[in-house]
Amino acid sequence: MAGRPRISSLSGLLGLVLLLIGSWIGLVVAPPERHMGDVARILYVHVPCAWNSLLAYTIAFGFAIASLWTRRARWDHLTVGAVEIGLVLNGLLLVQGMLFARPTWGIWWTWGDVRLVFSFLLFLLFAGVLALRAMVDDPARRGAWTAIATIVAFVDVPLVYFCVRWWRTLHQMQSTPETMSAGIKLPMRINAFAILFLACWFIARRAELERRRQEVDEAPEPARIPVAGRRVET
Amino acid sequence: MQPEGVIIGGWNYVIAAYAVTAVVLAAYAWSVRSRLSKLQSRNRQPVREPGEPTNG
Repeated sequence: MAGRPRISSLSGLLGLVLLLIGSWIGLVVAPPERHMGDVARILYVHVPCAWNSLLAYTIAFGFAIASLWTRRARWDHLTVGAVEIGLVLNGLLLVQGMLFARPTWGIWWTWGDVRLVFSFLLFLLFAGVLALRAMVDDPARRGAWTAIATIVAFVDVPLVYFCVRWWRTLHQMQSTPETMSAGIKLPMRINAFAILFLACWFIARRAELERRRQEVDEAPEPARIPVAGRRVET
Repeated sequence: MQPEGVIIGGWNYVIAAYAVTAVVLAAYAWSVRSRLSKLQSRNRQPVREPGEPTNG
């Protein structure tokens, strides 16, 4: 068991180092994009955040099914970890997307774009999962409600991914490695792996936090210890 | 003479995007670590049974 924190710490450290390298390449080494110029450098953090956010929600979906199936607290703790980092990355991709949209589309936000609306809806749905969890005191019911809400919220994940193919609005379709030059692919891939390793670290630490919190909740009330010279009311 | 259809500048948006990413990830890491260390220190406090002699 002692090896797990070490593996997660290594994952976090590796993620941090890769993120520094990927960001340096993205900001300094990579050439400006032919049409978008330097603004395209935002994509080196925006796209990896989007990929890993959807991946974290998908992993949370798997953990939620395992939690409902086995009723083991461990899966519930991992579900919370994956949902929370998915939410953080989801929030980041929305802000980065707005910072990219302003100089390229001329607007910060539009409710007429399906990708933007579904991404924002995804943020609200998974924020709702954590809000619902916070309202349930009983650990067993809390785990079940979290799992069910995660499964329901996950319905929006494929919509976010495929909506740009099904409805053509403002957001561009997914690029493929064949349509990207090597100078763009490298920082994007490095940052994607960086955020993936960081997300693994966050999930492990957040699950550990949830496990310890449950231990504290389930521990018996500490005995009232008489203090010298003071009468203890019982 | 700049070519048509090319976005010029925009470094302020790029810096803002990278800065927001760094700040949010660092803040979340600090939040998780501080919550964890708070719980760990609470778990380390000894729980004494009633009647058990106290030091001093």
